Amino acid sequence: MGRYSTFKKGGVHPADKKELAKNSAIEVLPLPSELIVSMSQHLGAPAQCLKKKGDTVEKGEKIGEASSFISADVHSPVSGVVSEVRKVRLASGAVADAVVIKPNEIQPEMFQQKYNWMEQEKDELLSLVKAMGIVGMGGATFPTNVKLNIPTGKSVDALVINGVECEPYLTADYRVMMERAEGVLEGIMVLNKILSPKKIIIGIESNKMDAVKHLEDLIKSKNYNINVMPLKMKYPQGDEKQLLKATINREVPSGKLPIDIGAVVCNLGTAYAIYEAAVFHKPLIERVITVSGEAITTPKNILAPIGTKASDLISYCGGYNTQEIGELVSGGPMMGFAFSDEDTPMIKGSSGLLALLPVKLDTGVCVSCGKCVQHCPMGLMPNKMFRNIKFKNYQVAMDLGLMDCKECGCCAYICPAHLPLVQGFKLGKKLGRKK
Amino acid sequence: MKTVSVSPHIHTNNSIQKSMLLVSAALLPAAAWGVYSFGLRALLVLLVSIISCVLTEFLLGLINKEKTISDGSALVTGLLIGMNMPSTVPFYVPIIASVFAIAVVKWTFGGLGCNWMNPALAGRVFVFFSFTTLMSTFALPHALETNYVLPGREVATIEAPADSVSAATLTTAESNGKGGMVIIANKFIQVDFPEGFTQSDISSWADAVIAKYPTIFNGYSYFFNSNGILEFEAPSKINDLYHVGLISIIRTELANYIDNIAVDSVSAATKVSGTKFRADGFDGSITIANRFITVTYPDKFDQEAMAAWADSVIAKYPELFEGATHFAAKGGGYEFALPNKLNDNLHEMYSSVLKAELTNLIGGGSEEEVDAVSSATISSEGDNGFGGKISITNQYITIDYPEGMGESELKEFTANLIDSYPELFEGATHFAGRGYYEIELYDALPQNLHDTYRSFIKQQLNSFVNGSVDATSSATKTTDLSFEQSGYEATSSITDKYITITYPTQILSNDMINEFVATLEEDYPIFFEGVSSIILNDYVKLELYDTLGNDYHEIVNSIIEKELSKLIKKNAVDAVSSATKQTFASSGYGGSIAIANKYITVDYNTSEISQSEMSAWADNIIDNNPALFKGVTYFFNEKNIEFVFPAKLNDAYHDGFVAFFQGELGSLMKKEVVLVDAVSSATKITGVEYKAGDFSGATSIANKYITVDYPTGSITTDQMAAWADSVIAKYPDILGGAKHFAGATYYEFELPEKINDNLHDLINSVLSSEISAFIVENSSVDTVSSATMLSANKTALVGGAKGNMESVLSSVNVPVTQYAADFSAKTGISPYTIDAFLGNQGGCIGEVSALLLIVGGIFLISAGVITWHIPVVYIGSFAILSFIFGGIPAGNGLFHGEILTPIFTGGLMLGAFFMATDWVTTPTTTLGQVIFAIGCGFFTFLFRYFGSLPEGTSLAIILMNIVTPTIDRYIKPKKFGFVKAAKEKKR
Repeated sequence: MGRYSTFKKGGVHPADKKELAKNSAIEVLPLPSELIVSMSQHLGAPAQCLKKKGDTVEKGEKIGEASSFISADVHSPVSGVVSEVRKVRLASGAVADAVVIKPNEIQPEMFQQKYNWMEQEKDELLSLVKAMGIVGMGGATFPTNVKLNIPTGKSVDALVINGVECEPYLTADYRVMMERAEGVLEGIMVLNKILSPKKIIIGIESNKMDAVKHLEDLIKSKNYNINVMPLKMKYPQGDEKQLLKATINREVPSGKLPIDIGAVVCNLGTAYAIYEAAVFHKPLIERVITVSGEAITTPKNILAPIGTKASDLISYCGGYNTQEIGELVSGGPMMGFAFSDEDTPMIKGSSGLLALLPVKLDTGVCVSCGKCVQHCPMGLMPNKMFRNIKFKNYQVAMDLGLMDCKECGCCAYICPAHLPLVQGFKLGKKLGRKK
Repeated sequence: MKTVSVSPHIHTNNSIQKSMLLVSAALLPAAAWGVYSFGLRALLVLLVSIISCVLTEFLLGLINKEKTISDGSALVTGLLIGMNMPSTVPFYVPIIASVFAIAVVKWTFGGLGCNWMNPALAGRVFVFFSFTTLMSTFALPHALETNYVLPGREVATIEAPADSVSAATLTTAESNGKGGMVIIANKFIQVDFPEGFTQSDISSWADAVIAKYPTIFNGYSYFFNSNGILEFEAPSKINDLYHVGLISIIRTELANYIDNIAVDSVSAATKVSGTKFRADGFDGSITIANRFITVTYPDKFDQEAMAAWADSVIAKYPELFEGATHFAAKGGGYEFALPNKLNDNLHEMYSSVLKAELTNLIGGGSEEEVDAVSSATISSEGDNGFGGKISITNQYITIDYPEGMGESELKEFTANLIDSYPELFEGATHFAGRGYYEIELYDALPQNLHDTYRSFIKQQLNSFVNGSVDATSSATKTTDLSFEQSGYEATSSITDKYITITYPTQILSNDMINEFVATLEEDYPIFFEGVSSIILNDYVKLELYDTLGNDYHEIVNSIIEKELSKLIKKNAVDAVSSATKQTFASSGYGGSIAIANKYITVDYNTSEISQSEMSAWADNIIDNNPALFKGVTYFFNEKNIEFVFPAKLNDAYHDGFVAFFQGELGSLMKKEVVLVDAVSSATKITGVEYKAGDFSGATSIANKYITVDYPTGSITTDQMAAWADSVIAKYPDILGGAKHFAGATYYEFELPEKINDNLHDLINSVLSSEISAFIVENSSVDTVSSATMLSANKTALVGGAKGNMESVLSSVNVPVTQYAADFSAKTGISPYTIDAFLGNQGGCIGEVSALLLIVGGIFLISAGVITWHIPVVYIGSFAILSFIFGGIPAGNGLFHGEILTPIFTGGLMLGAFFMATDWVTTPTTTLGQVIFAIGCGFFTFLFRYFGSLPEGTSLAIILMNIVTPTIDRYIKPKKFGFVKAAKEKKR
């Protein structure tokens, strides 16, 4: 093993806990009895709901229309009947319109036919991506067609495929890499066609060296011009800014996008979704979710339709193994959202569902140890920002770079006093924006 | 029960409490080493500190309604305070430090996280400046308590140099005081004897010496070596410390023997007295020692002159000098040798007499020179009584014409003068000059006659002018003259051809008068040629060859007056006044000594001393000084004893007698005291000064007491008592049976009997060697116990020491362990570095072992509690500055500073790893921490090398604690993407 590169500044090293679900192959979830498909599964404006109670829907039918430039279409994951259109509380706490679908007992076999995407133009592929409702599947759920639509005057130096999966517990991307590498690579080639980058890099952390090997072998056999780059483990390497720093050693300036430095980052899961969209014209209606955590009886990687309720996934994994459950988390433990309602539906960005054991944390006072400062990947001073937010000096906090904070949680993770730093920053951003 | 919280949902298992426990754990090895090094007391200090900190925290938590005790910060503060205390410190010091740290430094600003100074350091600095001495007094670490090594010393472990009996042979060679040598080597003492002594003489002397000092010369034998030189042989090697003393004894005894003095060494201490005098610009001295009197004299006198003078003195003062011989002293001066040792009490009498005689000799000599008749041209002039002059040059007498007189008158006068007074003018011619008249005598006129001639001519001229000329009178006239010189009266009466002269017979002997008359005849042949004299009871009668003309009477009288005065003046010192001189002086014992004429009265305390005692005393004086007291009787008055001498006492003796009686009275009075003490002789007091390190003191011996100065600050009376026991045991021959006790600034031995004066030197030299060795030994231990390497080095540098740290430390006796010395010998690393690294050094409980502190620090870094930046940069910057500038105070110059020892000593390691890394009081950014650490390194360097205190870690860190908020304000981390953005803006 050589020395793998990584981003320089800050970062933490939480235990990755991936061993819980790492070796369980992707299983297809049996059809749930009810799906709750949110209209707000992406960053940006919620989709316009196209269905009402009692309507029948086909699998892959568009049920939500992108309402603005930054928005995404939503498709029905199953064939069935709309039993209800109502507000639903998502794991993030946001409330959105959702179409509740009762699936038919028998689902049609769909999306088997292959299309030759190679013959399609760049723009056709781009609109296909939009039409298939593809969003970033790493968690941020940024509409992919927006990201891939390179503004005039900019060119793409590097396409970086994010296979880092730096959040502990999560193994969905890993399993996709291991089991569906060909699709992933083909998806990347689709992106290649859309973006025509000078180089393509797949960044993978060094705890997934088997995936690295697997992909490299495959790339060799297919003679793709793709560079697989193992990276030194460090959270939050999966953030696109950190990933770009680690892979192509460029820093995205504050307030700018990766394209401003000639780079596009795309999640590995998204690449697979693009593959499915381009080859099978299959919308994004299902995804691989890692169901893990110490409180889950059998952690698994499950291919589940979008809108699956947390309870269905948990029961498929054998339920809880203890009465003492701490938190249910949607996404990774560092940036995911805790929720309490087990009926909460999965969305396009739900990479994981974790059931964690309770942890007793004593919150102390700041002792100026500086660990948050030293570990902040963005070079901020969380202690000062937090103090200023505490004293309602939001502007000072913003001046200190509050808006650059990605809420990656490194500071709160490392803080010996267990101060709720991220909470403070979320609040500070909201209140600061209002002002 | 599910909970919902904001991300992140996992945390490090880090917590403040856990970190504090880790810090405590990391400190434990060094603290444990401190307890091992300094003993149980160190543990108690640690416990007291911890308990006071935790208790203070608890109470303040109660008051402030915050439960902060469990965060463990008070525990760490307490442990650090304890580790920053010397183990010897009284318990109230850590208690004060703890309360200050927790209550003032921490809670005043709001408790944990809000303090801006490290509480433990602030507590330490607070008590350091409040109890500086207590905080700077360190115990010797366990490893150095015994079996330590002083680098740079030849002897491996400290031994009293006094044990040198067994060391290499010391050879001591000294003059024996009599032109030879005394050589002591191993067990032999070789004594040169002057020539002229047979072996049997020498043997008897050697026997006598051995018999006289049975303890010192116990078991000694003697023999004559192949060169015929006497050698004593001791039964075993002679202690080196005895050499000087033995030589002193041998010199004394040799002198006693050769000078043939009754060997009464106990009481016959030789008094040496010196008197200074000044005469005619010459500063001289009279020294009396034993039976020898040495006087110095000006260069203008040769030995012959001095011999003549000495003869005259001996003849003049037979009472004092009978049987004395005299010779030129070897070392310059002239020396009288009396037949016997001179009574000390008579020193003053001799010196006063000799002083008078010498002053007279030197002063009188110069007068004679003026009087010498010279053949060289001499001239003098005086007035003629008529507005003109009479000048005499050689044989020419010129007379200015008086007013109204011409050549003819003067010619008549002169012719008449020459005719009338052939005694004065026989063979003279006369002639007129321009404005004067001149008489040419047959021969040049001696200068001493100028005045005589001039006044005679003046008188005759007056008679001639006034017409009352009575040139030759046949009628008998008597002319009397009386005059006084030096308090003595003399008369001269001239009738016909007889001159009767009375003179002070007490000072002028018949011989002198005879000589005086001879002088007159020789110097003034005109008047005195053919004179005869007869000395009667108290006058001398001169008979001239012919009747003296009446006109000559006054001139002759004036000659007699002049010459006799000179004689009286010369001998005035010998004067015995008829009744004038009375001396009245204090006896020194509450009364007076009065001398008048032939009586000496001596007051004494009649209530304390009986008449019979006084009689015995007086008899003793008379018997012992037969020459002086020949024919003296005495009787008692109411309050005094009165001595009656057969004749009036020479005044010159008065002062001497006063001193003599003062001395004798002193002996009498002292004897009274001495009788109580049951010791029978006058006390000799001898002292020898010694130096031991910085301390200088003296050993002194008086009677049977020996006092020994010692530094009372650093050596206790118990230590001195033990020392006294040891020296008494070690030197039974000189100190056997001595008792000892402590005095104010000295320690005192009391021997059973008065100490033989001749043993003083021996005892003093032995005891001064022993005590100085003892002081050096004890104070060297003291140096290390009260000083860290840093403070010892600093003190030495302030005291002017130069050189590298190792040499400076070894010069002030800072010890190292045997292991360090051995390891140093193998590797060349300074043993101090090794000991400091391992923790075998003086200092605060927790700061001594650099090794264990580094281990603890590495543990903390690996546990993620601290980062490496502050310790490494702190120590690194200090090391670099030390290397560049650290050599300056020690005089080694730039780039010659030491690094390792300074890093391992003092509080640097403890400070760098455990205090400067305190979360609360250090900057939060890495760059800020680096700046902070450089500042710490800089100030530590500055305080240590150029400040007044040896240590600067605490102050440096506190100073940088104060700067920390400023650092945090200006030093911010580089934001992600920040520089790039700025660059783009520029474009």
